[in-house]
Amino acid sequence: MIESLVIAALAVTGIGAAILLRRAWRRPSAARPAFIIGAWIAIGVLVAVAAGVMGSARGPAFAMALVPLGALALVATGVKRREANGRVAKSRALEPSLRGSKVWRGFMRTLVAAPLGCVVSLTLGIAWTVWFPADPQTRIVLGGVWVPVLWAGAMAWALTDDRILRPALSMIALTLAGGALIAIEGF
Amino acid sequence: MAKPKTLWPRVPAPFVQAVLAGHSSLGLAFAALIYLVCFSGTVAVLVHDFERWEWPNLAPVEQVEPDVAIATARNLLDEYGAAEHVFITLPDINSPRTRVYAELHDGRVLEGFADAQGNWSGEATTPWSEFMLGLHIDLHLPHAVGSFVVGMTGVALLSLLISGLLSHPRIFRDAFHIRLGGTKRLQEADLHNRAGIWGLPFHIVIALTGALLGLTTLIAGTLALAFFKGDVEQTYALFFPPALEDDTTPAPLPDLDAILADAATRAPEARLRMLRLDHPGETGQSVHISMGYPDKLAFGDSYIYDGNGELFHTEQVSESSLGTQILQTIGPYHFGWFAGWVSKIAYVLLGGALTLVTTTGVAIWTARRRSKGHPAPVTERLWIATVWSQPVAYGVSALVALLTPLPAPLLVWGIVTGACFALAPFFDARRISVTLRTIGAALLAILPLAHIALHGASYADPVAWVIDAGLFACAILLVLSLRYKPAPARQPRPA
Repeated sequence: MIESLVIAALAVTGIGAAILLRRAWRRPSAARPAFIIGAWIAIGVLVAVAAGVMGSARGPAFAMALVPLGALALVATGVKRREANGRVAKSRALEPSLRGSKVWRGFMRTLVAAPLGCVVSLTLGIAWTVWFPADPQTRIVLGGVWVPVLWAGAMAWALTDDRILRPALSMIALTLAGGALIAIEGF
Repeated sequence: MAKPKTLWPRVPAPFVQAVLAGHSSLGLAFAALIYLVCFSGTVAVLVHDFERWEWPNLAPVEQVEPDVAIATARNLLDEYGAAEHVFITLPDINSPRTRVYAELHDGRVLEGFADAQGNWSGEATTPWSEFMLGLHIDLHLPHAVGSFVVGMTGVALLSLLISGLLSHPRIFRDAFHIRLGGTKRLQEADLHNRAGIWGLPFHIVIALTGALLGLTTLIAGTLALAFFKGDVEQTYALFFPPALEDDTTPAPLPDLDAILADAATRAPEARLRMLRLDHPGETGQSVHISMGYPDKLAFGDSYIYDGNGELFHTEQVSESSLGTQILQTIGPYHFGWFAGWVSKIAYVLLGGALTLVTTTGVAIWTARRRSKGHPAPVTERLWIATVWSQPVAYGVSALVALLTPLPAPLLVWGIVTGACFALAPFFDARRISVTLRTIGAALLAILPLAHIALHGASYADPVAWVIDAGLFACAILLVLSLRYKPAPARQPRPA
C-alpha cells in the first residue's frame, strides 16, 4: 500500500516539479530562484523517501523512471503548432563549427576517439581497481563502471577539440600515467 | 521584454560550435546502431510478456510454494533420466510462470514452463522472443564481438549525451518549448532536445548500464591480462561461487525438501527464486538455491549444497560486497525488470523517447543540409528506411514465427531490413516513409488478429489480450502518424 502511494507520488512529483520549473521559466520574478530550488528539493526528498520505503536500489530506480516520465508528460501538454508560411525567421541556433574535411584528420579523430579512448579508459579503470581501498569485487566493478564513463568523455573530447593533437597527447600521457600507477601497486 | 536571467553559465559560442560538430559526426557515425539498439531494447523490455504471448495456453501463476520447484525438477529428471544442469525459476513480478531450463548430457537444451503443480508439459520454445532479445544483446553476432559492438554503441550514446548537454546553451530558456510545424529543422530540434533533456536521468542510466553489460567481456579480459596472466576464469571466480569436483559416479539426489527447508531457515524473509541442480544424480552434484527479497534488486541470497545435502557455500546479499550488489543491480536497472508493469510501461515510454531522440538527431542534420542548399537525399532516404523498416521487419518476423517454425525470425528480419535498404535509394523520402508506415500499421493490425485466430480459443494467459491490444494500439498510432503533415525543410535563400 505504502509502496503504491510512493509510486504515485514519484510520478506526481515529476509533474509538480516540472510545473514549478515552468512557472519560474514563464514569469521571471524575484520568486524565481525559490521555484527552481523548490522543484529540485521536492525531487530530492521524494528520491530519499523512495529509497527508504522501497529499498536503496529499488527506490532510486523507480524515481529514475517515473520522475522524468511525469515531467515529460507535462512538457508534452505544452505542444504548440506553427503554420509553415514560407517566411521563416532566421534560426538563432548555433551552427556546428566548420572544420577542414581532410581525410587524415577524420582518420586521426577516429583513432583518438575509439582505440586510444578505449585504451586510456581501460588503463585508468584498472588503475582505479588497483588503488581503490576496498574488497576486490568492489574495486573491479567500480573500476569497470569508470571504463564506459571515461571512454565516453574521451570520445566527446576527441571529436570536439579543433586541435586533435591536444586530446591525443593528453590521452597518451594519461595512459602512461595509469600504466605507471598499475605497475607501482600491482593487484 | 527584458531577457530573463539564467542560472546556467554562459558558454562561449565557439566552444558550443565545436561540441556541435563533434556531436553531429559521432551521432551520424553511430546513428543506425544506436537506433537499432534503442528500438530493440524498447521492445525487449517486454520479452517476458512476449514469451507468454507466444505460449498463451498456460495460465499465469502468481506464486507457488517451493515444493513445486522440487516437483518440476523431479518430473523433468524422471522423463529425461539425467541432465548436466537444471534451472527451475519460480514466478516473480516480471513473469508469473515457473520457467524450466535444462542442459542434457547429449547437448540438447530444453526450455519451457511448468504449471502450478510442477507438471512439465514438454518443450515450449519462444523463437521470436529469443530473436528480439538476442538482437538487443549482441545483434546475433558471435557473442564476444556482438556484445562489444553493443557496448561501444552504449559508450557512443553516453558520449552523445555529454556533448548534447554541452552544446545546449539555451537548455533552460527552451526547456518547455515543443513547437511543431514551422520549419522541419526547428521542429525536430525541439523534439530532440525536449525528449533528450527531460528523460536525461533515464538515458544516462540506460547508456551506462548498457555499455557496462556490453563491455563486460573486454573489461574482464583486460583485468585477466593485467593480473591473472590472461586467465579470465580467475576474474570471474571472484564473482561466481566455486564448483565441486566433477565426479560422474552415479549417486542418489540429496534430500531436496531438507535443503529447501534449511535455506528458508537461513533467509526467513526471502522467497525461493531459483532452484538449480548441477550434475544431478552424480557424486559431484550440487544444489544451488537462490532466495530473493521483494525490496531488493539484487538476485538474492545464494546457498549451495553438495551431494550429501551439506551446505558448502553461502553468499547473503546483505553481507555481499558493494561491487557484487552493483553487479546484480545492473540488469534490472537496464531492462526495467524491477516493478512489473509499472516499470515496464515507464521503460517502454522512455525507451521510445530515447529512440525518438536518435531519429530526430539525424533528421536535424538532413534538414540543416537541405536548408543550406546541400541536401543529402540518399542519406535521408536510407535513414528513413532505417527508422521505418524496423516496425515492418519486426512485424513480418513475428507473423512468420507465429505461423510456421521456419524460416528463423532472424533470417526474416534480415531479409526485410535488407530489402528496405536496397529499395530506399530508388524512391523519394516521403514515399518510403508513408509506404513503410502503412505496411507496418497493416502488419501490426494483422498480427493480433492472426494470433487470436490461431490461439484465441485456448487463451489461458490474459497477457495475450494485453499484447494484442498493444500491437493494435501501435498500428493505430502509425496510421495517425500518416495523417500528420511534416514541416517543410527551410529552403536556401536565392543568391
